[in-house]
Amino acid sequence: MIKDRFLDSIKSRFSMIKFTLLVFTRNISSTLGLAIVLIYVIIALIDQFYPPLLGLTNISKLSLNFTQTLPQPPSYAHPFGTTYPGIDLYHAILKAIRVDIGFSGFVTVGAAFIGVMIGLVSAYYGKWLDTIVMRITDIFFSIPYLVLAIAIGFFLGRSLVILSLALMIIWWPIYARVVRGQVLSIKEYSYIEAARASGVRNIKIMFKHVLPNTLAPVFVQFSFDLAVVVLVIATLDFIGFTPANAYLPELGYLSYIGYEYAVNGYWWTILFPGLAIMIYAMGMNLVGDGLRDALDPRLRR
Amino acid sequence: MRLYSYIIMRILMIVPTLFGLTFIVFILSRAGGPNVVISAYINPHIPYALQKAQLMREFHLNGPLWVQYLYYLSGLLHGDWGYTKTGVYSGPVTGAIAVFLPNTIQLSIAAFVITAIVGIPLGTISGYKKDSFTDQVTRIIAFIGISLPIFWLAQMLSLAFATNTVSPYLNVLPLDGTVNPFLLTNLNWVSSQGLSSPTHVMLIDSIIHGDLPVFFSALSHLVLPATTLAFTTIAPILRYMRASVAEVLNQDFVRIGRSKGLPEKLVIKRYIRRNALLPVMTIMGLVFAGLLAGVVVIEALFDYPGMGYWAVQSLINYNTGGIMGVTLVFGLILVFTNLVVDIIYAFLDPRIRTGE
Amino acid sequence: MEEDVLLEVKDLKVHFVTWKGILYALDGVNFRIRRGETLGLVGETGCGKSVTALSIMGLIPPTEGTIVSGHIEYRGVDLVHHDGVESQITLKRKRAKLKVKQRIYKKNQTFLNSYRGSKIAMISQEPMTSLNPVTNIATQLTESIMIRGKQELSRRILSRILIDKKTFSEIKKSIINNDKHTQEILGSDPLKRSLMNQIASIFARSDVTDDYKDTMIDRLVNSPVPNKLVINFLRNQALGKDVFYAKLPFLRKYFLKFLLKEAENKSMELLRSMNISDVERVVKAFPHELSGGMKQRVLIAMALVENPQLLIADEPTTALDVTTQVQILDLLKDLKNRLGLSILFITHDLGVIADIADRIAIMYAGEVVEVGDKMRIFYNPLHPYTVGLLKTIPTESSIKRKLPTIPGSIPNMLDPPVGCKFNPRCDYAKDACKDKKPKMIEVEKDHYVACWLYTEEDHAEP
Repeated sequence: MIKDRFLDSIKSRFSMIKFTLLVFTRNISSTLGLAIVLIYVIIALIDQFYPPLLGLTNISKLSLNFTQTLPQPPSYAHPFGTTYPGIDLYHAILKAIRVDIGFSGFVTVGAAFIGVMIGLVSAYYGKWLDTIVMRITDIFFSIPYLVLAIAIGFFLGRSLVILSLALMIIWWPIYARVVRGQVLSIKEYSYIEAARASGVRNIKIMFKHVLPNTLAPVFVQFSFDLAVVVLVIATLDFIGFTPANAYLPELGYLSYIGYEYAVNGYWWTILFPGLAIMIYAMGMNLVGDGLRDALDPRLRR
Repeated sequence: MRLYSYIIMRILMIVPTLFGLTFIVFILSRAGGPNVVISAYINPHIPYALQKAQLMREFHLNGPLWVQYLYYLSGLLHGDWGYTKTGVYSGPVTGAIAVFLPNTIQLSIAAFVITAIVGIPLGTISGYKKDSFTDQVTRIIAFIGISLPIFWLAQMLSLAFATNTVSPYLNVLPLDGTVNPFLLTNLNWVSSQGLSSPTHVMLIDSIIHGDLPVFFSALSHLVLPATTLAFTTIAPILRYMRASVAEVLNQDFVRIGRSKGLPEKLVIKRYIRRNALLPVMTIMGLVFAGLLAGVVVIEALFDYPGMGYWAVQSLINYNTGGIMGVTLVFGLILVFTNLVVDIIYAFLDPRIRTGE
Repeated sequence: MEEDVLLEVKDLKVHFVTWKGILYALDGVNFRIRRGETLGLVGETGCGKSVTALSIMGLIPPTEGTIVSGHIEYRGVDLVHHDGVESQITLKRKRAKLKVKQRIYKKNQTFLNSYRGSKIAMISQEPMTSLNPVTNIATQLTESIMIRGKQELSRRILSRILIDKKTFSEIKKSIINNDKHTQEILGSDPLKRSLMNQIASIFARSDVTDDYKDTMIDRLVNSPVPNKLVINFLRNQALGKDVFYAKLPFLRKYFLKFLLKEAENKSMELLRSMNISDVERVVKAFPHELSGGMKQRVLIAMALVENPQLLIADEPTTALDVTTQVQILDLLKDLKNRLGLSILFITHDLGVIADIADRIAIMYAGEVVEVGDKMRIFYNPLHPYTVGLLKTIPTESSIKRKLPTIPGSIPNMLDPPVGCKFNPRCDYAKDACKDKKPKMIEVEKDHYVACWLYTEEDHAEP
């Protein structure tokens, strides 16, 4: 009996997801965005598990070639050209995609998880817990994220892992706020009162009834954040967060290397890495837009 | 009446936020170990160990954390914000702030003005004339704007307008700095390091001293940085404004307002725009945070000597005082801005004033 | 056309564009409203009542739909002809699109603006969301007067300043003694008439004692006299002319403040006449501080502030509780009597119609199927739909039996039935009903119906 009801609830959730996907795919631009994102993810996965497929070796470092340090323009041998010192941009970008997508995903998932949990609990139980959490989120909103990331990196070390953790700490308040807004309105709905009146324990109400209904805007925020975080990571690397001699395959870092040369005419050194980031961000933003429209109850005809 | 009490309450709410801000900066500074804190005060000519013991006593680094925090706070309130040793500036942090902050403010205000003048009206039109040609174009521009890496746009615009890469005819804008240094020789109101008096803001000081070539040079140096910054800030505002206006247009009271025979211009002003601005104001704080983040990048890229530039230099040169100073100042700016935004919001939306 | 017909709607057709095609919202609406009469427009949800109201006001958004044919004449002036003919609806693979010529649309809207508020006003069914949340009640009440009524406002102020004591006591006496004759004579001069109205409205108040009324009336003419510049400004305004120094940026506010204060006073008078007690608090408040019933009363005041002759009330009581409903209805009846207001009262509640309407129009699926005098329709319903409707009203005798309903449901307006739209549900449907739309004919005095039961098929005119 209970198992049947459980399966039913999963089925209904499933059909809801299926329906959302249907509405989503009706929109041309959203599907295009999804396609772009999938291409990037596939590249990242290939990088991770079977790099030779793309002709790459030594996936976590850029391949340097000190015999030809000056950047070469795009050609048949080097489709995107090369940058200092002798790094083939095509290969470098492919490697960098894994790093950027991986870390941005890591940050966003972590931030979302922490933020949703904190937001859910604090908004549900309310009163002083809620007030404290609100004050804490206020404090985080008071420091520009870039500056805080720089500060954290400065004192705790300038590696990508620390950077990701720092960004996670900076980003969770947004999810807490989003979830909080949702929970506060849902909390007043009668079915919550009904559940409480029939004796269901608070935790169960929280997770089974409240949480699923708060997730819609969370997913939308999630997709937009995936785009933003990639931009932030790249920007931080561009201004020099990662030490200059690490030769990390990362799109912002590549732009950093290329900049001095670009202003002297070697424009491809910054055009392609930036373009790679931008296309991914555009794809992700399209997905975010599409999700938001698909989940909007008024447009679900 | 109610507005005043709300303002007072809101100002009081800053206090815990300020505590939180200073605490975070403090904790971070101690997280790297005592060496980091005292690095700025080390005299390279005297043996390290000797200085360390004395400095540790001076900064109470041996005591419990909360005691250190209290000393730190009292130091802040007394104007002792630490010491910085960068290539550009060496001296007390407060001095560095006096040098760098005016330029950042100049840049931020320029970018913000552009954003407000272009973003809000354009977003309103975009939402009012939904799906028109203007709307489609605006949406595309806004979409590109939120997907662009700031540094990339800055680089591309630099290449186009400050170098010969695209076309020599477009090479009209300067690449770095705030002003053409050759114009500054032999001017009595500019110090040898390039500081102008009295306000340290080249744009204003050149007007005060009536020096037009310097003024125009400063202006032209401001164009690229401010424009790239504005572009990334306008994009989300365009989107939000559009969505908000579209939302408001569906509301009953707009129809009722029209049914009273009010001229459409008045309906747009008082019914649509004022109501559509409200949700947009709520994200203004975040937008401004983004602006400050962008300032850091832009200043680093354009060699624009402001707080962001100083931040990046401090990062690369392991300058503790600089990092802490920058974080505090940016934090204070943002707290202040959030306060102003909240007050403006309360002014615009009477529902806030009479209780939630 | 008869002399006192205020509004005539002739064969109005309105189409909307949707993803699934053209929605034929109105397919031939006909009715007439005379001066001082209340026409009740009755029908189920979705039959097009609100659309009719919006079409009269010209408030159908050009992105959603348009009037495709028909006439709406207000005292002989066609309100439609600028608009509907110039827009086109096209059908593209099931998706309907509407193209509107912006310039013509804007011109039409400006033209209609001169009627909205001043001649035709509207109140709608959702008082909670019909007020602008960011401006206070005073602003919303005085908005329209400050745009169009500056002449009258100036006249009011001037009438208090310029009239001499002798004329004043004459006027006062004529009001107190209800001397209609003297009032007529004095009323020929606009200034005197304005003062008369002001005194009369104080006199008509029921919340203050007679002594206090006397004091207030006297206080009218003892108000402080503003300086010469202001008087000059007001004089010109009363004649409709603008003065150049009043247009200067900083001085403008100063001059307008006089008019604004007067407008606020006028609005407060209006609110008082609607049985709102603490008017000062209401006027300074914001919409979210008021209750639903209060909001609806404010909305009615807002609609009447320029003394329109026609009020369109679109289900004003549906969203209110029963006791407030009664209050609002009483208020409307009172206004009807005092001001000679014509009302187009839209509702689905037959009980309310029986109370307030003089004549009734029954709407079904975008058409008026029966219209006429209230009593005649109630006692002699002609159209089968009307018969069915009246049968659904619970009476004492129906307590023990199942309530009758009309079987079926309203047709899909994307693809309405051919001929008479009621034919699928009609017990008396003939073959003719399925083919041709019946025309409206007069069966008895002031009782029209559109139904093949009452006309022979071959009498139908082209």
